[in-house]
Parts: sequence; C-alpha cells; structure tokens
Amino acid sequence: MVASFFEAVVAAVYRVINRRRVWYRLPFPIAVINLLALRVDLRRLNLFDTETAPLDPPVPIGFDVRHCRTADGTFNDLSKTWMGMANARFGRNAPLAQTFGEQPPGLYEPNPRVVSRDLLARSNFVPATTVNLFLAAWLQFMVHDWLSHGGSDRQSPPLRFPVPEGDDWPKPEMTILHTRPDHQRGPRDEGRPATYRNLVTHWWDGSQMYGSDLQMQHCVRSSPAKVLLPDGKLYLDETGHLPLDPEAADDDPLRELAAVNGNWWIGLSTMHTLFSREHNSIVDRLHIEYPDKDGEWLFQKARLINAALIVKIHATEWTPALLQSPTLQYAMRGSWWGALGEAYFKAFGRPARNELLSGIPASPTEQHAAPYSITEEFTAVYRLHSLIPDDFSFRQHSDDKEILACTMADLFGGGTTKVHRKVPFDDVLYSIGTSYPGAPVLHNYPTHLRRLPENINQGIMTDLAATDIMRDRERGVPRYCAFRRMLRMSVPKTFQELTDNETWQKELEKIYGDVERVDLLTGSLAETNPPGFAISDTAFRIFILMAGRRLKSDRFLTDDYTDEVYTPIGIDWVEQNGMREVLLRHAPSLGPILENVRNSFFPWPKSAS
Amino acid sequence: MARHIRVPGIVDVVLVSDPAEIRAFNDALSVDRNFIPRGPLINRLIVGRIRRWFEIMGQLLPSLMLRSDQVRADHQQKLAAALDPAGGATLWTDAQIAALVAYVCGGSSGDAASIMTQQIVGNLFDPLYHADRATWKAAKLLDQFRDGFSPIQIVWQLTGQLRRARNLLVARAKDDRWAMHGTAIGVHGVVKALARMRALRALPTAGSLSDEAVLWQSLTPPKQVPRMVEARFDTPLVAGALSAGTILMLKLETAGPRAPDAEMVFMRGHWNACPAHAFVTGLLLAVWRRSLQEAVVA
Repeated sequence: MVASFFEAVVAAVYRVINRRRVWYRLPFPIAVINLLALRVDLRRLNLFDTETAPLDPPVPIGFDVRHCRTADGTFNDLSKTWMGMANARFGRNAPLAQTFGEQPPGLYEPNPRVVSRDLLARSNFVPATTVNLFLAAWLQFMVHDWLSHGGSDRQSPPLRFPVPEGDDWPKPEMTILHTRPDHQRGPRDEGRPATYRNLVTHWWDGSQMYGSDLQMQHCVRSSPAKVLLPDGKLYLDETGHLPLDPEAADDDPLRELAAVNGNWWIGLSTMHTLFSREHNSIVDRLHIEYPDKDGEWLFQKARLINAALIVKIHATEWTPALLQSPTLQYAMRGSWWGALGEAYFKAFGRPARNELLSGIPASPTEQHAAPYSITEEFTAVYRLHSLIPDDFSFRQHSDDKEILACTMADLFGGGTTKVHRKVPFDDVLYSIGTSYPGAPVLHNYPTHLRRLPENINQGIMTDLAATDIMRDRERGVPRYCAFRRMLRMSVPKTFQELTDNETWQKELEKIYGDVERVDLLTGSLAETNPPGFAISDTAFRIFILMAGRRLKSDRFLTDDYTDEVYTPIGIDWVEQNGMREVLLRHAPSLGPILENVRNSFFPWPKSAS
Repeated sequence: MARHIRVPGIVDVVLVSDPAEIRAFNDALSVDRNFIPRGPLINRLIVGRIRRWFEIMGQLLPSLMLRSDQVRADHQQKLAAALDPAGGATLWTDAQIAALVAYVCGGSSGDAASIMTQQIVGNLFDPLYHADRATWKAAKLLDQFRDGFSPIQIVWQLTGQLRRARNLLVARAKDDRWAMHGTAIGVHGVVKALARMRALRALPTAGSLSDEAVLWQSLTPPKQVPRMVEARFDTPLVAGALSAGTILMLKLETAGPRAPDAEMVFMRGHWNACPAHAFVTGLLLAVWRRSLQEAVVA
C-alpha cells in the first residue's frame, strides 16, 4: 500500500515533468526514475484482458505442475490456470474500444503497396553498425517463443486492393489473406472488437524449442526412429545439428526440425542449434549432481534452466545492445540484478525480494491490471524485418576468408542445411557475429521479403511489407498518432515534428497527406530515435511495459525462481552464464575472437587474413 | 480486487472497478438499491443525500429503485420496447438529427447540441417537453452533484442553487420520474458521446471506423452507481465479509475501458438494464452515418 502510494506520487510528478521534457533528455539518475514512473502508469493504464470466458484446463495426470513448466503453458498461474497457455487470446495495450479493426475504404488508405514501395523498400542497405546480426537472429528466436498468429485465414475472402500503375508487381491487384480468426467467441464477445489467439504459449518458456504441446515436445526429444531419448536430452544428429523435419513439405525436404520452424533461416537455425546443445549440456551437469534422477526429471529441470538463461541473456545483453544508452544499460541490467547491480549481487546475493532493489527474478509474482498475455500492440512494435540483410557472406573464423557468398533467399528453409553441410558451425557463428543487421529505418525493408514466393506453383507472391501494414490496420492496432496518444506521449502535429529527416518529411506527406493517417510501422521507422537507440521511443514504451511483465507475471521467474524448483545447480547455471559462455562452450575455437568483445551482440572483430 | 474502506462507526464503503467484479456484485442477491439510512456515519450521509435529491414525491428515480419493485420492472420493459427505433415509432426528427450532425461536424456549440439532445430525450416522455438553456444548466449542476462530493456543493446547497435546479427539472418533467431521470441524468451519457464523436469525426481516419468502433469509443458508462448490502455477505472479491448497510460504489467509468460493450454501459443482460439502450445507439449511429456525408468544419 505504502509502495503503491509512493509509486503513484512519483508517477504523478513525472507526468508533469514529461509534459515539458521527454525522459531521455533528463540527467541520468532522474531519467532512470522516470522510466520506473512510466512503467507504473503503463502497468496501470495499458494492460487489457480480452478473454471473456476462458475454460480451466484439465489437471495433467502424473505431472508436477508446481515444479515444472507444462508443455502448453497451463498452471503457471495457479489461480487462473489457463493464463498464458497456448491458444489463449492475445491481450491488448490499447483500451479495448480503440481496438476495432479498420474498415474499408479507410482500411486501404493509403494503399499498402504504395507505402511498401515508396517508403519501406530498401534502396541501399543501411547497416546498424553498433550491433551484429545475432541481434536479428535472437529477436526472431524470441518472437517465436512468445507469439504466433498461425497460418492465415483461407476461408474468408482476402483483403484486396489495386496495385498502382507502373508498379512491377506481377498482378494488377494485391490480395492478402486475413489473420486467422478466433473461432471460440461466445455471447459475451458480442459487439466487442475481434480477438485473435496465440498458438504458442505466451510465457517466456523456450516453447520455440520445446513446443507448445506434448506431442511436439516428444518429437524434438525423439530420435528419427521416433524413440524418446531416455536421458532427457533434445535430439541432435551425430554432427551436433538439428535433425531434418520428417514433416517437411515436398518442395523443402531439407528443412530442419524445431518446435517452431516457420520463417526458418540461418540465424534461427544457429540459435536453435546453440541452445539445443546448451540444453544437453545442462542435462549432463544435472546428471552428475543427481545420478538417480530419470530422463524426464532431467529434461524438465534443464528446460527450466535453459529458458531462464535465455531470459537473462535477453535482459542483460541483448537489450542493452539494442538500446545503447547509459540509462537503459542500468535499467535493463537492473531488471535482473536490481538497483544495487551485478557486482553487489554476485558478492552478497539478493538482499530482499524487492523488484527495485534485487531485480525481478525471485521477487513476488504480480499480474498488475490484467492476467498475463502477449498483446497485439507488442506484436506490432516488434515488426523489425528491416534488421534482415539481403546478402550474406560466410567466412572462416581463422582467417576471414570467404567460404560462401549468397543472398538471404538462399538461406531460407532447407537452405540452412545446405549451408551447414558446406560451412562449419563455428564459422557460421563467426560470420553472423561479424555481420551487421539492417537498421530499422525507412527505405530499409529487405528486398526479398517484399517478393516472397508464398506459393510459387500458383504464382502467388507476398509483399511482407504491405502485409505488415495491413496486419496492424486489420487487427485494430491504432495508427501512429493514436498509438502515441494512448500511451500518453506527445503527438506530432506535422511531419516536421515526426522526423528530423527532411526528405522523409516530404515523402511521408506526399503519401499520407495528414500526419494522423501515418501507420504505426511507418511512423516508428521514421521517428527520430532517442540517442543510442536502435528503435523508436514509441516502440520502446511497449517494450518497457512488456519486457518486465514477461518476467514479473511468470511464477517460474519470480516466486518459484528458487533452489527448490530449479535445484541449486540450476540457479547457479543461470547466474554464472551468459551468451559468451554459451558460445564458447559450443564453439570453443571462437575464444580469441570473443576475448575483447564486451557484449556478444556487439560486432565481433574480424580475424586477420 | 475491490477496495474496502472501513473505519468502524465512520465509513464502510467498497469501491469496485473491475468489470467482472462489478458484474458479480450487481447480480448478487444480497446487494440491492434499498437506500435506507443505516450503517456508519458516512454511509448514512450518502443515503441521506440520495434520498433528498433524487426523490420525487417520496419515490426515488428509477435508476435507484429496488430490484424487486414490480412497477420499475414493468416500466423498464415497456420503455425498452417504446424506445427501440426498430419498433417504428418516431423518436427524433430529421431537423433534430441535422442539428446534432452540425455539431459533430465541427459547427454549432456544445450547449446548443446539449439542449437539442435534452429536447429529444424529453420528447420521448412528453411531446410538449421544452428544453432550454436553463434546463440544461440545471441538468449539468445535478450531474456534477451526483458524480461525487466536492466542497463547492455546500455552496450550491446553501444558496439554494441545487434546489432550484432540481425543482426546475422536476417541473419540466411534470413529476414523471422516468422523464426526470432521462432529462437530468441519462442525457449526459448521450451528450458526452456526441462530444467524443465530434473529436473522432475530425480525424482523417474517421472513414475507417466501424459502427461498433464509433459507438464504444464514444459511449462511456456513468462514473459510478451506488448499491447497498442487504444482509451479511461472504465474497472472495474482498477480504472479510460485508455487512448490511455497506455501500458498494460500482465505478463503471473506470471499468469502461476494460469492457467496452453494452453490458458495462447499459448493463445489458442484467436486471437493471437501461431501457434506452436501443434508442441511444440508434440515435448516435444515425448522427454518425449522416455526419460522414457532410464536410467537417475546420
């Protein structure tokens, strides 16, 4: 009560300050407290539940829900056991009345293909030179853990709009399938905005590796002969790579097997391989300590530990690489180690179960204004396809000599297997670590993603940039100005206030006419970012709300982040390891290269040729 | 979770702002609108205030009447049928809609639109009802008084301003409690919705809004409605049991963003459903659709 009163007062004071000055223009300590104040308001005013009649799942028989994560995410919250489970609805950050999908004719204005072609399409690759390509691969690895809308709706008539004259698109009309609808709406949903379901668990539980149902979990734990590995490990082939997917489509037989292997490319393949190997290393370590425990127990504990390690790497390494400002470095590392910092934590442990003092892990679980779920607005601000380059070069880590040059289109689906057959794994890691991702700005959307062969036999192509624009409009994600308004941010009245780039101002004005029409994605890519940030302040607001929430709502990262649940070895594994340790454990030859790399997501030095 | 403010002998009030909790309390059989002075001091003052200002000839306004009151239930049913545009009755004229459209498109003043709305609502009960600047001012004062306590209200009471406002509205409603509720209380929901609609119409994205989006971005529930606990009542929604005389403040406006639908705004599907639901949504949609055919006044 006292804490919440104090928080409310601080939040109120900062609301007044922020009317005159945005948080990143304040001195360091004041800006840090400002971020906390923003989060207080966001937790109170921007979390909305869309479930109206969720059904309680059956209690799994013979499974210890108290000490292990269930495959489908049920029983994480023991009072609302459905919370965060696979197939639960996406929540919202915008008040529900503002989340009705847009209707024609406004739905198609301005034409999404024009936005894609004239504002998003990459003319020249703009690299983000402060980070390496692992940043992009990691992000997609995480997104596959958190969310999936599933395949598009093939039953309803698609969205249709004309392709402008002179466009090189092969057809005069562009069609985009609707998002898969929620087929479980009931009487209480009548008149309410459309809802969508997340096919994977909402929790940060490694479901992209371990699956969101028991069948898939057994699949990744089984040999090609479909025999469950008795030792609790994930199946990797004799070369330490992922096996081929036995269910792969006929036109893509070399696709690797992973619980989530859609939009598969070399970056994702590398992450899955690395953390599957890490899982197996954790199993080996646990087996030494607990030789009497069976494979099921070892698997479940290793899963908990591996997932928590991924969370920690995201909070303390990936995010500070993405948002390179002293305020954010402190705040994000503080979310794991607390205000007293890593050094204090490693010397004395957590002084209290207080989120601010000791970080979120082991602090009390809290759901704030709504039951936990990933939100549509979160999905929208994570549309960062611009991070993907179009061209790629694989080189030897020993002398930087090129082994293979290819386009990203060659690295999709089964293309990854072809690469692994030609390029040693350590060299793949080296090549990714020394390459730049694209910068998330206008005119930097990957060319190949704007002309994806969705169904090449039927001549169906996808312009993913146009699809991104349509998805936000269709799902009722507010446009840029409305989005900022609902986050209580200042709203640009002119294109000049939106971006400092004069060329972009003119281009945006030509296509949108009025700044209120600007789409969230376009506005976020055009916006002048806070110093050191690779993303916009608009996207960042959702980020600071949801980044903490993914931990704070999860029993296994808060109340049950304990020796009892993880084992002392498990907690120690999480606390003592990071991305560098994972890389070196599974690619020890990279030692000299990583020696002076402060953050594994920063560009690695190239080997001398 | 609902907030229970309890100081023995002084106050015993529960503030409820979660939609599911509001629904549960509203439907609980131990909770009703039986406003008789009982319980601690502040509870008695709240009840006294309700009875003093929202009664006509010893009878409370319909939105404050008992669940079991048969007259209320019958009237509610008849009104719902009479106020449904689908029933074929003329509930508004073309000229009245045109006046509201002019306001939504950025022309005419808020007061003119408010008086026109009060006129439309008044005519539902009495074809000769006459709304003017004085009745609208009186309705605004009563609405502010109903919203919650503030020190200025003491001045309104001491100077007789509140009494005069109430008496004017009662006189214009010709002592009809339903007309009084509509023209003094209910009208504000429509007026506020029109103001929000005007802001939506000014946006260049107005053409992409569905009817539902317009309705639920415009309509908001009343700020709060009171209920009283009738008998000792155990509930998981607050710590400890509630006793007879505890006042529940259902904070509908706070809950609104979490449940933008007819259930929270009109209590649709509940015993106390607003009979004007179809009328209000019909009127607002008629205004909105026509406003899309008109140009916005810069």
